[in-house]
Amino acid sequence: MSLIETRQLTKTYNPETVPVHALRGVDLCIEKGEFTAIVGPSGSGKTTLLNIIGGLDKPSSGQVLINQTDIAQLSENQLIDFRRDHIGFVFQAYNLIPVLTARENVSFIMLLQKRPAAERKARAMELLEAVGIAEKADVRPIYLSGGQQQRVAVARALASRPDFVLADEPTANLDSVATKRLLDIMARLNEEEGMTFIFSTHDQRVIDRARRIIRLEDGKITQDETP
Amino acid sequence: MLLKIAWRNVWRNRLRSLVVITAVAIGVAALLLIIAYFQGFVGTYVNSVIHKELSHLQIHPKAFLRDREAQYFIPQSDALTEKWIATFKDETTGEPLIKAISARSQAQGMIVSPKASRAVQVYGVKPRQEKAVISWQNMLKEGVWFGESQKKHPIIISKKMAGRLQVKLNKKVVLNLVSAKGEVVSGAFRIIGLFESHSSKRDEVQVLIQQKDLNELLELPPKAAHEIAILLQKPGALEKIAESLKKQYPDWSIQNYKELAPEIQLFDSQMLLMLGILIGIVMLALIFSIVNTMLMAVLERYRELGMLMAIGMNRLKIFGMIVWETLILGTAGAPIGMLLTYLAMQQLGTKGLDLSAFSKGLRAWGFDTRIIFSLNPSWYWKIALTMMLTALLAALYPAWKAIRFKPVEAINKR
Repeated sequence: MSLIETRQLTKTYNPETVPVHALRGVDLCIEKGEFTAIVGPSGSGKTTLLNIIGGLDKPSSGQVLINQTDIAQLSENQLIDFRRDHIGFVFQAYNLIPVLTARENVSFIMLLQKRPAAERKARAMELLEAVGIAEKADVRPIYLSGGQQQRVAVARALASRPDFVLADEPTANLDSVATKRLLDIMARLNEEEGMTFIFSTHDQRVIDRARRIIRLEDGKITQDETP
Repeated sequence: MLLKIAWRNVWRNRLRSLVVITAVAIGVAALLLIIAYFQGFVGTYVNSVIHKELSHLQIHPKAFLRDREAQYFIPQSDALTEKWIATFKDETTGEPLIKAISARSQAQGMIVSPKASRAVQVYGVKPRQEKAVISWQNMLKEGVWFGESQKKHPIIISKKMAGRLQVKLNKKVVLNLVSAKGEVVSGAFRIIGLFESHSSKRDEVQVLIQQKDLNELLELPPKAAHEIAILLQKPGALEKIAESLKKQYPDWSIQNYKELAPEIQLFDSQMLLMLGILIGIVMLALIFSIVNTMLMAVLERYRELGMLMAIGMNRLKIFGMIVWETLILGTAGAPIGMLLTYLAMQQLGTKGLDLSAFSKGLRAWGFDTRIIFSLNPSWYWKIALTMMLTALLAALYPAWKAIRFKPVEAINKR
């Protein structure tokens, strides 16, 4: 049983005016513990695919099964809860809550899950240590570098104990050192804890570290390889 | 945590939030001071009417009110007033409910000086009783009160009247009246005092002489009176005493000061209407100001709010967070405004506001020229609740706007 399975997934924007076919029948299976990069040129449908797998967008047709739950059938409110409990997000622009400290940012999602305060505090620190930024726990994002912010974002993505983490161009705003460090952390979490990571990326440094590469072109999978 | 985030969000743009908080503080202080002014304005007028003109209750024979003839009088007024003072007492403490009573005779006629004549309303008063009911000591501007002068047949007239008659203190005037028998009678009086009341209309017609002189002139029994004015110890006992007197004396007219000065009720109702309109205008202005600020805050955080929804913050919580932010922004200024009002009231509530620049117009309508501000403490929490309601109303649109964001669009916004 796959962790994520898409069946004949299509997505068409502006279907009644100027149709843009972002996805044209994508069939895909991702197993638990994968470290997968979805690659392709701009406009190939990478972000659309990631958004649909993450329950942020709905497909025009087809199914998205996550642990056998067809999330395309869930209501908006059910989707919000589903995302909270099953999916971790890492965004290109970090998107931390600027008024909260690093620790509070990591704790926040656990608060939404109504976890006890002690557990929230302990896990937030544990995760910040895991991403090597525990000493900045009480610092707000504005005082962190891009690489540090992205590591906090990874810690936040893992805080809810999700089934997998979706990372949309996570290294696009980072320099080489920060990129290497972030990828090292993600790879370690993948290897040691079995966390599933799915990236959409242009970045060759990410592609080089991925254990599976799915290439999209014009909304279709043109290559699916395990280097 | 939601409240903590809301609080910190309010201070993300310190200057913008401070502008709104200052606007709310000024709005609240302005509202409270306007209320205090209106209440003080009406309160000062009512106080003037009671203590300088009408007292709390007045009793007249109904026939006298109808025909204004001296023959319709209350006999044995002394005995009655003593009886009432002894009868009306506080049920718990046993203290008299009546503070003072003045029985007066009245007549309409002409006052004549060597150079002019005027129509007048002559009040025959018992000096001590009258002074206990009406604050003549504050209104007597020149000369002395009855009993403090050895002159025979003394009269006190207004400064305005003296000007019209072109007379001064110690000069003689003649009163021409109609007696109880319907005959024209006249008497010479010497001016011992000049008064100035809060009402220029009253100053144009009222003159005072002693009751014994007037009753003698009108050929009335010594203890006859046309009007009994009652000043109460506790105004709360007004209705009870009035009802009791109405039952006992059906031929007499028993009127409280609101019936005698119906403009008081008009002022009360107009004041409430004006306050309602003012509160509405201020609320509306503050709602727009808060909505504008919160909309800016929400639209600026388009991507952030989308991210919060993406990671699992549901719409109810987003809505709640924006409502909290708006409530903080909308109500933080209220205590400051209240404090400003409290401080201003220390001055305005004791020394009042001097409106002597407008004295002519005010005195023509019977108003004092110094308005002592008065603010019922309940207005503080009423305005606090109003501000909370204002903030809540102002929160609805920005919060609704925030939950309409689509996370996928917000996150991918470049």
